[in-house]
Amino acid sequence: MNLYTEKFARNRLTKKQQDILRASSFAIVGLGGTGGFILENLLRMGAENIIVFDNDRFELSNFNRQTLATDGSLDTPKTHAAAARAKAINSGAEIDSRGLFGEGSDLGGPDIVLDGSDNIKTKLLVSRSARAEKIPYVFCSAQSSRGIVTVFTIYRFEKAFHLPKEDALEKYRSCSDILCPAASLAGTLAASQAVNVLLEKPFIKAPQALFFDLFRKEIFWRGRLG
Amino acid sequence: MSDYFVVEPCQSAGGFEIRLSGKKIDIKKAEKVLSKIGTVAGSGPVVLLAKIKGLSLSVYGSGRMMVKGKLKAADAQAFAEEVVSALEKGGAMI
Repeated sequence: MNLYTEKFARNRLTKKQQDILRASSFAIVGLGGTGGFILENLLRMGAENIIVFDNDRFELSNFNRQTLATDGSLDTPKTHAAAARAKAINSGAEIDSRGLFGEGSDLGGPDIVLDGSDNIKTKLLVSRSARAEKIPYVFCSAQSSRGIVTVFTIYRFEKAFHLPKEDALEKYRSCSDILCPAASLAGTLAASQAVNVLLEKPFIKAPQALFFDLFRKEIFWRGRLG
Repeated sequence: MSDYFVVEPCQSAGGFEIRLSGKKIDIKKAEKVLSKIGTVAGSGPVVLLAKIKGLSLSVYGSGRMMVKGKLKAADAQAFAEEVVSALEKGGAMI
């Protein structure tokens, strides 16, 4: 028995499964509404190797939905708050902090990438990098009370969202009017899907996607992208 | 003046972001300066919130400011020049 096994014993995973989670490398692009909850979930499941991409600092308008936004982290880089949070949960967790994920960025060789970014241009870049590195790309998005989660393995991101030419993507401005439960749920589902992929459990594979709307009577449904 | 800051649309919150180049802001001094050209709605160790010309302005100690309200890019530029100039003259830029 050691601190790690005691902390994560209640995951109810086999030793082999927990070892896989512990040894796997995760990349998270964006540490905002969904990204913060992705990080929290991965840490609580025992992930120890996490690469994070974000060049932003916390501001007042983040507080309604971003779990890492606190009075103490206000005006500090989001990657710093992520590293501090990781160490507070598991001192063995290593956070590799990178800046903005943009054109020409390197994902850093993870086993899987989870997208917590808030704009379609970054999502496209991340999906392409994941495809180039032949690793699964966990997509999630939340807006208002709604969200989508899926995992891209072979199916192309561009096909799923009928994207216009790249120079037209600028007009697709991000929308940050999101309820905390929607950001939390999208991030949580994304983290769980990543774990399912790594542990070879069933997962939602694009073009299939899981949709939710917290304001609907039937909160969840499955649909097809593209 | 213009090489002191950049103004660009704020992706995460709408409005515009004003960033000082190589300068930080003394929040306590900024509070005094901005209360002369607007109303300071609240402040803490690293941030202050002000209402100036009907626009909402968040000022962070790191040198970043967010302006929100009904304004276009040109308006944001003019607004930024006025605020940065006031902060500079008032000794709030460090």
